[in-house]
Amino acid sequence: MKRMLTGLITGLCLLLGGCSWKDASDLSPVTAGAITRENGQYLLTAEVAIPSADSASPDSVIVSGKASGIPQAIDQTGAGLDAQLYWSHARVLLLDKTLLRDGIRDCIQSLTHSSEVRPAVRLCAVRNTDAASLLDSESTSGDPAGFALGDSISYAIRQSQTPDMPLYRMADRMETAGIDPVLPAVSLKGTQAVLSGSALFSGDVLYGWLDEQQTGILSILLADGDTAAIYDTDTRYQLSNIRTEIAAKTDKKPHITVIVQTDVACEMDVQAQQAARCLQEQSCMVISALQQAGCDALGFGRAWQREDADSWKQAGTDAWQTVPVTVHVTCHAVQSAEGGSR
Amino acid sequence: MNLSAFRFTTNLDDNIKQMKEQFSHDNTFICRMVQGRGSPALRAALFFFDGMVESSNINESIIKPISLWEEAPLPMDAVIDEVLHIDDCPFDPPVDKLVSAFLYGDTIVLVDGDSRPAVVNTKGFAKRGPDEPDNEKVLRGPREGFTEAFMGNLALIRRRLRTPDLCFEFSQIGSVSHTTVSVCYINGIADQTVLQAVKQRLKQIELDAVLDANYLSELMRDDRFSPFPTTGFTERPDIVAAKLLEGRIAIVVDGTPVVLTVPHILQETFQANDDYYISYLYTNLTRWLRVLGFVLTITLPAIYVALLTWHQEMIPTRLLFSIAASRQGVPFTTFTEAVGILIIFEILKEAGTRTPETIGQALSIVGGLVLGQAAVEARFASAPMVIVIAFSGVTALIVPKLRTATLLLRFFLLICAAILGLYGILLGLACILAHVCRLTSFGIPYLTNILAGEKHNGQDVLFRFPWFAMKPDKRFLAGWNEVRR
Repeated sequence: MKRMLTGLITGLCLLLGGCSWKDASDLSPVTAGAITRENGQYLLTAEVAIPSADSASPDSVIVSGKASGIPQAIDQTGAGLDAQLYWSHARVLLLDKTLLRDGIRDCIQSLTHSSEVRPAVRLCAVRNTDAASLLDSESTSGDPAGFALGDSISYAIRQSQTPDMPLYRMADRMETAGIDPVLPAVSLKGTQAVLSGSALFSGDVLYGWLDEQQTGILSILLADGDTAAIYDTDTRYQLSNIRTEIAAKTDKKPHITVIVQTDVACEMDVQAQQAARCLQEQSCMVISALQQAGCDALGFGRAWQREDADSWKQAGTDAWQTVPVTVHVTCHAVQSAEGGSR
Repeated sequence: MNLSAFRFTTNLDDNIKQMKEQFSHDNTFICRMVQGRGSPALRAALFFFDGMVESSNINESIIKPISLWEEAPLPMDAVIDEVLHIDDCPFDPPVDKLVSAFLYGDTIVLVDGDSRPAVVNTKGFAKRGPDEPDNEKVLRGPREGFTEAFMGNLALIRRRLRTPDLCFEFSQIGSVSHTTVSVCYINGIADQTVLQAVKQRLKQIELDAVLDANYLSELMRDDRFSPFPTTGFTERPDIVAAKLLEGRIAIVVDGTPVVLTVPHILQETFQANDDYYISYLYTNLTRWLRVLGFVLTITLPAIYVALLTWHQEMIPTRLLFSIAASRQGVPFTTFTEAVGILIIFEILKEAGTRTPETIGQALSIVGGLVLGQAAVEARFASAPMVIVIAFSGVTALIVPKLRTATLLLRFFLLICAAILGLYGILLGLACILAHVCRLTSFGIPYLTNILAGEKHNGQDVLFRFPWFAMKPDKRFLAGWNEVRR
């Protein structure tokens, strides 16, 4: 009995392991990927890093595979390589406009269910070029283009220049009523991949784009970053400690309130008030653009639903586009080593 | 040798003949005849071993007084009282004690006409001074260490504890060696249950010889197969004195500078000798470093192997690139590489320990630096693996009392990591914890004072309290007694 119990427990322990042995030298780490839709099939392009003992930056090679589904495309991409493709270190997945136009729900669901791709991989929409060509672009750091792009996106997110939209968040937004996805957009400028605004979705279909400045304000409202900068003509305000709250009131007439609280690096309260006014004006313009595009990136519908689900249902899921929105911005002047307004 | 054959007669010549026959194959055996100046003269025979005795002592205390004796022969008891100039001289002892003392450097004195021998204390074999033990050096504090001289070792302890409650109970172990073993304790502080257990276990030991304290340790300890030490070893009298004050029992073995202390619990393995001689702030910091060092030394190679073979996603991308680049060309799997380098490291360490000090240092440098560098360049091993194993080896040095445990557990966890990754390491650690929880040392739980809920002592476990805050009656097992009562 004791032996049986020991054997059973050991067996269960082994089953619970769930991982598999893969020696690091048997793996080819993928640093970035691009997904394109071609003739009803998915074309998956992967940037595979080839670590080099002679250089701090790895070399890279581009491989691709085509199949009717994402899992098959992943398998196809790695076929023929002597080492197994390892997607867990992929930093960014570029979604081509061919895919964005047709709807990305199937693609996102497949990626979410895939055991290969990490849920934290960041997604990007590709503008004005095809996604695979971005992986072939140049990078100033010497790193592979996709890997360097991942670094740029991370930095931009910390600086509130672009929204943070990893795979799990994208899937969550697509499946949740009252909030829409928004993706950072990248494009080819010269021979380099650069961030260029953001892609707005309604449901899973691309509806429009925001430019860089609007994307920055949207990121502040999403409060993804640690710091941010806003510009009032020639004055720059450095923001930090950004907190946002979205509330819906439905007692008389539906109304959305966006409350933004932030610290601004300046020496006088007057400057803080100017920064608050500037941020409020720009926020209103971005919210208006979102309402016009029909992309509920800030989750107004969800806030409304939480407040009063019945009235939200009665008004219809698109009613948030016509609801008046008030933005309250409070900026606290703080002295910072970075200096005040310049 | 047949001890029962020793039967002295009143005829001195017969006795001399008998002794010479007994020790005919021992060229160190010396028989010296002495004759007084009287008429009839006092005739005496001295039996001793060359090199075991203090010659001047024999000359001045025995030979000279007898040779100058001008009166009539006397019986042995009168000779002791009136002729010999000696302090310690058992008269007509039982034959086993006589032989034992004789073999240990005492001189047997027999006079003509009396069959009763006298055993004169003339021990004087070569011994070294009480130098500081090489493997128990301290930054500050006493520098004396035990030697191979039994009585000298006991004196070193008594010098530090001048109390009538300090007890030394002798017994002899070893059917051939008849090694004297002393159980030392302080009456009133030592745990009586532990004391009885020690005496009982000593009695049960059946060996032909005891040449070192470890002979006893392996026979007396609770869990003989555990890699964790459940008996303490020290070569320092100050440490023994401190442990006796804490209610422990010391076992001093003749012929070795190593003294056993029991019970030995886990907290002691992380205590350094000079923890009590330097600032408590520094002590507490270094004590935690020792704990961290032990954890790192057993887990670091295992974690590295687990990450590289099971959980590559947990390694930062750039680090993964760096490791993958360094592993290019290495023909072994990560696990094989780790085991191989660990074995090589242990071989180098062992070679360094066994070679003379000057060569040992050179060997360490050659082994550690040159060989490591060459192995990496020749693609036998990757640089990160060499770094991990070397760091793990260095951290092992700060917990010398757990050397065996470190060596075995490192390999055990490495295998766990190779089989099940980090999950395996956690399982392995759970097994180790379960094992340690069930360990005892002479009935005292091995985790005494470490487990929560024990009220009797927390003064010298995770932190060493400053002396002004430490209560003597609450220290270690002295406090344990109180709880038991």
